[in-house]
Amino acid sequence: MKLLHSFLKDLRLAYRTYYVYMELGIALLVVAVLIFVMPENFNRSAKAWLHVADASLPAAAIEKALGEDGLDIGRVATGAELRERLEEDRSAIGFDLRLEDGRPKLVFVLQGYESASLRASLETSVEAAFSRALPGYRASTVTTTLRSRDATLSDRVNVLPVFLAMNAAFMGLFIIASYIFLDKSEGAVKAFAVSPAKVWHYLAGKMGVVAVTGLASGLLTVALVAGADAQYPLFVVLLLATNAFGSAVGLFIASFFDDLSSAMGWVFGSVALLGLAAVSYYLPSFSPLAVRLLPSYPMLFAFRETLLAAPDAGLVWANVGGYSAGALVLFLLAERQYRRRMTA
Amino acid sequence: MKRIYAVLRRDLMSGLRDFMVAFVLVMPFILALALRLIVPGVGAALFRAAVLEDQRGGVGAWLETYAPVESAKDRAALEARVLRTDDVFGVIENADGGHEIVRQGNEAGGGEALALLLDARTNADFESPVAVGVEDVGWKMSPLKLEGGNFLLVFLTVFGGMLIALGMVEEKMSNTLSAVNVSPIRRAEFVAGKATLGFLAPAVSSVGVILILGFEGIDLGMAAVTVLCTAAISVLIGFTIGLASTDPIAAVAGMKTVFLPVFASVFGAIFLSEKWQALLWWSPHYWSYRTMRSILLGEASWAQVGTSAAIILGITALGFLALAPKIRRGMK
Repeated sequence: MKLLHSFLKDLRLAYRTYYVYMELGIALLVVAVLIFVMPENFNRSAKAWLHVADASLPAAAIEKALGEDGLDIGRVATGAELRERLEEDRSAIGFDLRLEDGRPKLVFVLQGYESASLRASLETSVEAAFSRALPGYRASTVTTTLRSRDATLSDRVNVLPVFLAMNAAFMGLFIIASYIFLDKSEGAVKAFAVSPAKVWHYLAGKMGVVAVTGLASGLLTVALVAGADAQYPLFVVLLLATNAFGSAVGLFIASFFDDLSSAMGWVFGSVALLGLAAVSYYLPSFSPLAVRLLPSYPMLFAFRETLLAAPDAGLVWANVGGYSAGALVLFLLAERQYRRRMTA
Repeated sequence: MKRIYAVLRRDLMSGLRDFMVAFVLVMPFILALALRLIVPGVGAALFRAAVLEDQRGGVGAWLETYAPVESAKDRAALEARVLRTDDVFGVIENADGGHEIVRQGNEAGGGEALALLLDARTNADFESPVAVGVEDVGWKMSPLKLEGGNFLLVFLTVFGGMLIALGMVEEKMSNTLSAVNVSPIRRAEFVAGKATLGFLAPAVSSVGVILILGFEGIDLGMAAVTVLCTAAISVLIGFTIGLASTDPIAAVAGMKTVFLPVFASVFGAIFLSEKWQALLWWSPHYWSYRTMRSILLGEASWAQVGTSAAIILGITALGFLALAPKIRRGMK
């Protein structure tokens, strides 16, 4: 009852300030950018330049094959011109088709930053692609798919997990310290110490306000961008668990400081660190252990699942359990710290 | 001048004590270091693979030429590894010399290349009808380093504004702002003292970012002009938000709102096609991003840097004209 009272009072006070409306405004702005500025899917066709050194070479077949791989092919007259084009456009690649010892040779002309593994993969796999249609070549690799389901999102919807994690789930990480220190500076915290309610009622009330705001911001964004395809019950449960975790991290960090300025450096530092997981989210073949250990890493993939037509509900529930447990532990640690320091 | 320095010194000392200034100065260095560490790994391979422990020396060793490889003790462990969140393909060598790829089903790519590679291993003696080779034009800077470094250099200018906004709120809350009005320091000197930190922090951080990411060959003068001009708009925004906010919550929310146009300007400049770029001409951070990109690529001219600086300062001046009455009111 006291918790409910504390939560409702904080909610009333929060909705009298700009902050909540700013968060909703940010969500609407993100929606506007995603819908009106960002294309549903990016055009991924990379520019490529082809130089054919000898008229006897099967240039048309090569050009057709490269076009089927999604490359936008342009022809150049000389090898020097090919290199010039690559120097003008650092995202382009080149192909030099020549005769070497009487045998056609396709040379990938890259920029130069590409790794040795990538170069070796290109050489071996493209040679295999040329060979596989020939008699005597044994295509013996079989593929077993463990979970066959449609797990693709449009590029536009694929942005949502990053926004949901960094803005809706970790909203408390940004703002809860401000709430606490504002109350402290106004003396409200000391007044609370002589009230019948407990410290955890006060802290949980603040977390409740952040949860309502995070949920409103998250639902608004998902409803307007992903529409009916999202799995709303799963999404709401996940957002509440991750938002509680974000707030508990914010409370825990803030519990070590006496004023907002001191805490903000650590808060912004944590947000920047957590944001690194977005690199692995967009490039799943790059996932070093250090990134996988960040709490934001599984969160991004769990939010992604809630936006799919056929989600892996087990993965989402595992995340809900993990973040709820994490939130509880951090909340208890922060509460103990606040009990000692907050009323000092 | 002495009084401006006194305001700057006080802000610097109190900020360092509170860790906020230290954070603003140190954070870009940490982000640059993180970027430097991840640049070689991102895009280094087309896929990642896991093999059975007893095949580590066989197909595992062979695959290491092409991608990072890890091992699992048996098939169940291999499948469990494949089913984890990231993209890893399981590879098993069969008794007949062929291979099996175990995939989860939601991988972003790399499966086809892996199948071709494994077929190539099985057909090691088969001569391809077309030889394939790889050459390059000697450009060693990866797109991630270029775009990431550029984003960092543009984004760190916002940190200076953030310092000013939080500092102004604190002044208001401790009533020192009204005390300034009755002290010998002129209002312009107070503002100049506060603003200096907003230019100083990005200037120091940008030098660190340039050195850490290995951009030291670029024209530092051009980079300095671009960073300082971009910092001007952040300083203006910092003052406006700080003076308009009655508490730190509003200041934090205000700065968070500023992140959005900065992100939109940079990502819009990267991803929007040329015909849509005009949508971003209003943003100083868009001009800053485009100019800094040319500087990092070694393609910028002073004419380009000067034009861009004039546009950024012009937009800042328009912003100042619009916001000056609000700032003046807030200072009272």
